[in-house]
Amino acid sequence: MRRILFLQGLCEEVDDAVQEVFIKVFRAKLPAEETFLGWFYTVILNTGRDLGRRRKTRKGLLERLTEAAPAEQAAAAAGDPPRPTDPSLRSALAALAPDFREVVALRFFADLSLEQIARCQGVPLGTVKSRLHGALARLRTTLATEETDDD
Amino acid sequence: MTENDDTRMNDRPAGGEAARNAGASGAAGDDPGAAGGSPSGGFDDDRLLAFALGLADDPELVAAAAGDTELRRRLEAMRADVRAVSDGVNAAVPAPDDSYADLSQERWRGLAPYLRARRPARQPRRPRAFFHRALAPAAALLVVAAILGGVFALENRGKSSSSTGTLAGKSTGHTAPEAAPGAPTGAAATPSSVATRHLAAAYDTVVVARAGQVTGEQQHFTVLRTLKGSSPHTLRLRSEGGTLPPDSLAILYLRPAVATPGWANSAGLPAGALGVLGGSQASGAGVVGASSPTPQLTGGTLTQRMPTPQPADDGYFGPIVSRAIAHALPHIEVLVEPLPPGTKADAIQLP
Repeated sequence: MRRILFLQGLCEEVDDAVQEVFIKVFRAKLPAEETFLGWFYTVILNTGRDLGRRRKTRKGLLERLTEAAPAEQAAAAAGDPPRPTDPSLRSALAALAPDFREVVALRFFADLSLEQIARCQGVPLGTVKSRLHGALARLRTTLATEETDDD
Repeated sequence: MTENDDTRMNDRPAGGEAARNAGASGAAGDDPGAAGGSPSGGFDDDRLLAFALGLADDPELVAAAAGDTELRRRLEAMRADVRAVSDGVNAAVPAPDDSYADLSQERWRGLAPYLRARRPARQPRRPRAFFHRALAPAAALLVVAAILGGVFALENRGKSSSSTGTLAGKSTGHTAPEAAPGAPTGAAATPSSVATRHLAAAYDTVVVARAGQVTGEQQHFTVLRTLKGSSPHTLRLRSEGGTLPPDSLAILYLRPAVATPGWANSAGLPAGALGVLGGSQASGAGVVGASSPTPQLTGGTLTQRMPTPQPADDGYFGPIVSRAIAHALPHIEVLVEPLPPGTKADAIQLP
């Protein structure tokens, strides 16, 4: 949940967003067990969108993703295993449209199926496929370009 | 977020075009023989990416890859690229600190009210529970009381109406004897009405008898007490006004029929039996039509059936008392006055 909200652009408000999601869950009349997962992630997406529209600072996701880099560097200096950092990938992620980022987050962080993602976003399955394909193509291109540049 | 966001060209990858470009460059690098990025086997990177992401089944691609080493290599490379992107996206989001799951942290202050154990809220007294506990029993009591009150009222009304209802006289004309002013009534009452006094004076023999079984048109009577004159112990009378219920008591007034042909004297009657009658001899109006056979009282019973006395020309048939039954006795005029149930024979006295 935290990573999804982070990718929605709620970097410094992510903890508030997590709280708000839990409060909504506590107050809500829970759905049937078989539909709970889709309902839960829909609450996450909607909460992220609502808070994103209300956030006071207008920092973009790229800035937020960039700000997180020093923390990883500090961790590396402390002897922690280095994390695969990729500023270009962060830039590519930040450059994606929010709906594309949501699809990426739900696919890679929540491991939802394409049908579940379609229900969470409230769009047709074909639209989810198109968004995921487009996002992965862009990100893959960025990684490939980086490898080429490194070479 | 609306679909319009998807149309922003600066953010939206150029779909298949970008992928084809990327695939073309990749293909050019991987496949030196390929000129201009033309994919081997006609499967471009878009198609391989869609298959690697699980967006679509591609049996044609699977079949082609089975026989094409280069295609299989490209497909594996595409899958590796997808894994790299996934790792990169996961790495792009900074991991939380170790105390992130500690709910006592200040960051989770907003969740504290929901995490504290709460006593179940005291349920307000619901009107429904109050109804079941208090109102329903009271309502039931009211209904029961109303029903009992209605039944009681109906019973009282029934009693009062029954006391004023007419005492239906039997078809035989059985009614209680009218009581003369000052005269006792009831079981010990004497036939003290004026009519009764008149009858007692007008008839020669007055007995108290118990009605017996009815046989055809005749009914037996057993004489219990002789109040006036003398009488056989049993009498069999032909009823012309109905019969009495068996075992009921009655006063029988007997006298010789008036102007009975052939009734010369009481020689036909045993001495001592209906002795009063024996001495009577009427002439003129009276019962006519009686034939000659003289009634025989055998053992106290008139056994010989005589024709029914016919009324005289003037219509006089003898005194008719509405309260009595006229029992035709050949040549003997009999009036039967039924007594009320419960009357004791010993209590009957002549006025």
